[in-house]
Amino acid sequence: MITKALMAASTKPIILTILKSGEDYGYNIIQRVKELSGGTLDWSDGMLYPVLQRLEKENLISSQWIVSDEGRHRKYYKITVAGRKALVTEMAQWQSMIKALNLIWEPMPETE
Amino acid sequence: MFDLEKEIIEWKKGFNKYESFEDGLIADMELHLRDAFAQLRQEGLGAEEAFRQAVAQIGTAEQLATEYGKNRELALDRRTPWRPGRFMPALFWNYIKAALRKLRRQKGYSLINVLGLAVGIACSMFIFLYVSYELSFDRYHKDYQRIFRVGLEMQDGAVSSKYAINVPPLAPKLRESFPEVEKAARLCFLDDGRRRVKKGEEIFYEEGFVYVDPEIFSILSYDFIEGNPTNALKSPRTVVIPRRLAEKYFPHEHALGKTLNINNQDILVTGVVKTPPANSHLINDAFLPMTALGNPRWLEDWTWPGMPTFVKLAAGADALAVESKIRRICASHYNKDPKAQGKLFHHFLQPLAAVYLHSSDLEYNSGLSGNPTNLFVFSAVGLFILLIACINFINLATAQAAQRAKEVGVRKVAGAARSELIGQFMSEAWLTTLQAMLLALGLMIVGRPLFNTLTTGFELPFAVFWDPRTLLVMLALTSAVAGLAGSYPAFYLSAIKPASVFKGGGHGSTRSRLRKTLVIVQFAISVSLSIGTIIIFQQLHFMQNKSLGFQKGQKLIFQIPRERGQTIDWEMLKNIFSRRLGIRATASAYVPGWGAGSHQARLLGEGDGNYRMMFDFFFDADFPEVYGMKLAAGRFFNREMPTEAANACLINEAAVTASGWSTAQDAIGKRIETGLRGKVKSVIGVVKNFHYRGVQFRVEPLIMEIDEPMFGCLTLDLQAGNIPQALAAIKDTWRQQFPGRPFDYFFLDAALAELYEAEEKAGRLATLFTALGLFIACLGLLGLASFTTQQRTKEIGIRKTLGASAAGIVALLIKDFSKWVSFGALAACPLTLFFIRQWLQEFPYRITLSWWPFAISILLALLVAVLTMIFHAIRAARANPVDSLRYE
Repeated sequence: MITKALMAASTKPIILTILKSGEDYGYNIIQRVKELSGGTLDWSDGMLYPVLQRLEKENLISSQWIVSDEGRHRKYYKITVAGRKALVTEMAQWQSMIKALNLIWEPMPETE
Repeated sequence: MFDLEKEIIEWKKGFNKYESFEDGLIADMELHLRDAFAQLRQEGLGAEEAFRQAVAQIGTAEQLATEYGKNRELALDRRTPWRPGRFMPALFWNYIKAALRKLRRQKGYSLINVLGLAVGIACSMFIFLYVSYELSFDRYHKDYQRIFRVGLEMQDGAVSSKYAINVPPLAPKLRESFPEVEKAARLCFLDDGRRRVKKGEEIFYEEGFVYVDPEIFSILSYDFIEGNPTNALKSPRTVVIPRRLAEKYFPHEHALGKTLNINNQDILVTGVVKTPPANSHLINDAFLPMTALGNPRWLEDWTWPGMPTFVKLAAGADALAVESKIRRICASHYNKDPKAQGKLFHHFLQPLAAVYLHSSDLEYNSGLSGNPTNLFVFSAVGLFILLIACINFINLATAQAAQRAKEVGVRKVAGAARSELIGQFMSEAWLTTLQAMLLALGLMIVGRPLFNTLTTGFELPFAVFWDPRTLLVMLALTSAVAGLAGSYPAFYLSAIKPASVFKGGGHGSTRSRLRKTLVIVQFAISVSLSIGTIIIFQQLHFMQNKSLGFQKGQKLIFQIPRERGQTIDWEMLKNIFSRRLGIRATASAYVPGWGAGSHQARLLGEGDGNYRMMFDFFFDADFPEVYGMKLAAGRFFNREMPTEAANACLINEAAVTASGWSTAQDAIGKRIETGLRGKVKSVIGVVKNFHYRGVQFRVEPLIMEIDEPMFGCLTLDLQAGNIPQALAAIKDTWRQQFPGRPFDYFFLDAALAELYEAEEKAGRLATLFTALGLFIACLGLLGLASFTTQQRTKEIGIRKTLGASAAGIVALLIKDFSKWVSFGALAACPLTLFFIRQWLQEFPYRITLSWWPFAISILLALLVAVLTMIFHAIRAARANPVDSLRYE
C-alpha cells in the first residue's frame, strides 16, 4: 500500500512521464497510474484533477478541449517544454533518492 | 428507474457548497465520472451499482475540496501582485489604456486635436520667450532696482516736453549735494560714436564710442576682462575698449597698458570689457572719459539737455523724495539763468528696467527701445491662439459624446463614481496635450529660424530648448491647457446618465449650442486678427508712401569725415562730387526724415520773449532745390548772397501756427534769436511742413538756418543720370578725396523705410499669427464637419432617395456652420474696431479706417471655412443612399 503522502509527492513525475510519451485525457491518465502502481493506491480518482490543475498553473503541462470521435468532449493534457525540463530534475532527484535508499537498505535482506 | 443525468446533477450539487471548485474542474470530473461509469457498465455491472462505484472511485467532495484548496493557497503564497499606490485611482491603467485606444481608433480627431494644440502651444511659447526677453532688458545690472535714469521735463506755458537726456551740470551737482545718490554719471554721444583707429599703417573706422563719467562703471555692470573699473578712465587720454577691439588690435596679448591710436592721438587702454549682453538698451561698448572733451562752455549749461544721466541711489533711498529734492536744490540754478525764465524744469527718475520699454514719450532716447503695446498685443494674441486650440479640443470632445456615452454608461453601471470618470477624461486630456507638447517642441525647433527672421533684433538661441526653465514653463502651459481644455468635456461626459444612454436617442444634441458658440468665438478671434493685420499693413503702407514734403527718390547720402575743429570747404566738395556728373549736390547737418537738433530760441519784439525749445535744421542754399521743397510764403536763401546765412532763416508752417501768426505771410520779416549761437535772424520765408522726422512723429515748429560748421553729410541727387555709372564715378572721387577711408553711403528712400521697422515687424508677426489662428480654427471646423456629416449620413440618404440633389445637400451641410462662422466674423468687427483705433491713436498721421479690411477678413474667413467643410459635404452628398440606409 502506497501512502497518500508518498503518492502526492510522486504524482508529479508520474504524470509528467506519462504525458511525455504523448497527450492524453484525465480518465486515461488515471487508469495508467493505477496500472503502474498495481492497484496498491490509497487514492481516489478525483485526486488526480487538482494535481493536473496545479501542474497546469505551474506551466508544466497545457490543456486543450478536443471532441472525440464519439462526440464526447475531452480535455487533453500535453507536456510543455518547461515540463520536460522539470521532469529531468525530478528524475535526477528521485534517482539519487532511490540510490540512497538502496545503499542503506542493502544489509536488510541479511537481517531477514 | 435509474436516471443517470438526474443523478449526475445531484452529484454535482454536492460540489457547489465548496468555493474551491471552479466550473471547469467540475466539468472535468463529470467527464471522468461518465467514463468510469461506462467502463463499469461494460464490465457487466448494473447502472445503479456502476454509478455508485464510479462516484466512490472519484472520492468525496470534502476530500477533493481540501486538495483543491491547496492549489489556491499555492497561488496566494506566491509573490504578492503589484498594486498601484493609494494616490492612483484603482483603474489608472485602465484609463490610460482607454485613452490610448481612443487615440488609435480615432486617428483623424486625435491628429486635429494634437496638431491644433501643438501649433497653439508652440506659438504661445514663442511669444512667451519673446515677451520675457523684452521684459528682461537691463535687469542683468547689479542692483538694477536702485539705478535710475534722470529725465528732464521742460514745461513752457502749455507746452511740455520730456527728455531722456539731462542738463550736463546735473550729475556733478547730484554727486556733491545728495547723500541719497550713491553714484551719478553722464554719457555723451558725440560724433555718432565712430572713431578712426590706426593699426600700423592701416586705418579702420570703429563704432560704439561714447564719452562717460568713470562712475558709470560703478552704476552699470560692465564685465571687465582686463583693468579695474574703479580707476579706468581716471585721466583724459585713456580708453576702455570691448573685447572685439582688443582682439583685433592686440591679438594674443594683453591690451591693458598698450596704446591705441584713435583719431591721431595715442590713447592708453585702461580696461577691456565684455560686450554688453543683447538685452542691454545701451549698445555702446567703447568708453572715453568725459574729461577728454576738455571743458566746453555747454558743460555748464543748465538749460541744454544733452546727456543721458544715470544715478544709483543709496540702499533704502526713496526715489520720489529724491526727485522733489532735486527740484528744490536745482531751482537756484534756473532762477539765475535768463534762458530758463518762464519755464519749469522738472527732473524725474526713470527706473533702469523701464528705460527700454517706456521711453517712447521721451525725446532723444538713445540706444534700443521696445514697444510695450506690441508686447501686450502679442501676449493677447498668444493667449487667443491657445484659446482657439483649446476650443477645438472641447468641441471635438463634446461632439463625440454620443460615442463615448455607452462607455460612460457601462462604467457607471459597473459602479464608477463621477469623480473617477472625471479623472479618466482628464487623463485623456493630459495624454493628448502631452503629445501636443512634444510635437510643439519639435515645431519650435523647426520653426526657430523662421521666427528669428520675423523678429529682427531678437535671436532665439538654440540653447533655450535645453534650458530647464523653458521646459518647466512649457509643462506649466501644457497643464494649464489640459486643465482648460479637458475639464469641461470631463464634467460634461461624466454627467451622462446611463439610463438615457441605453434607452437610445439623446445624442447630446443639446450641447451643439455650446459648440456653435465656441465656433463663433474661434472665428471672431481669427477674423479680429485678420482685420488687425490688414490695418497694420495699411498704416505701414501709408507711412512708407505718405508724401514727406520733400523728394526722397534717388538721393545718395554720405557722411564727410572730419577731425574735431577742422573746417571743410563744402562748396568745393559739392563741386568735386557733382562736376563730373552734372548732378546736383547739397550739404546739410541732418538727413531729412532722420530728425533734427533742437535748441532754445525766442521771438524778438513779440510774445512773452521767453526761450523755447525749437527744432533746428541746418542746410545750405541748394537744399530746398535738391529736395524739391515748397514755400508757403517768402523766399528761399539766395545763393548769390552768402552773407544772408548770418542774419536770415526759414521757418516751417508749424512754427507759424505755434507763434500765433495767422498766415505764413505774417511771419516774413519777424526776428528770432536762434539757439545754437544765440544770433538774431529774420525770417525770409516759410517752408511748407515736411517730415524731418519719421511719419510716426508730428511735425513740430522748425527753424532752418545755414550754418556750415554744423554740416556733416552730402546729398547727391542721382535723378538725372545712370545710377550704376554715377555710383562708380562717385566712389572714384571718394577714393581720390579720402584715400583709405571706407565709403559708407546709403540711398535715402531705403534708409527711410527702415524707420518703420517696428511696424513692419509687428505686421510680419501679425500675419503669421493670423494664419496660424485661422489654421487651427479650420482644423476644428474640419473635425466638426466630418463629425456632423457622419452623424447625418442617414438623413442625407433619406433626402437623396426623396430626390434631393447633391448640390442641395452640400448647401444644406455648409449653410449651418457658415451661419455661425459669419456670426463670429461679424461679432469680431466692433471689438476689433475699438482696439485698432487705440493702436492707430499712437500715430499722429494715420489712415482713415475703411470698410474693406473688415469685409475682406470676413469673406476670407468664410471662404476658408467653406473650403474646409466642402470636402466632407461633397463626399457625404455623393455617397450612395443604399449604403447608408441598408441597415434599417
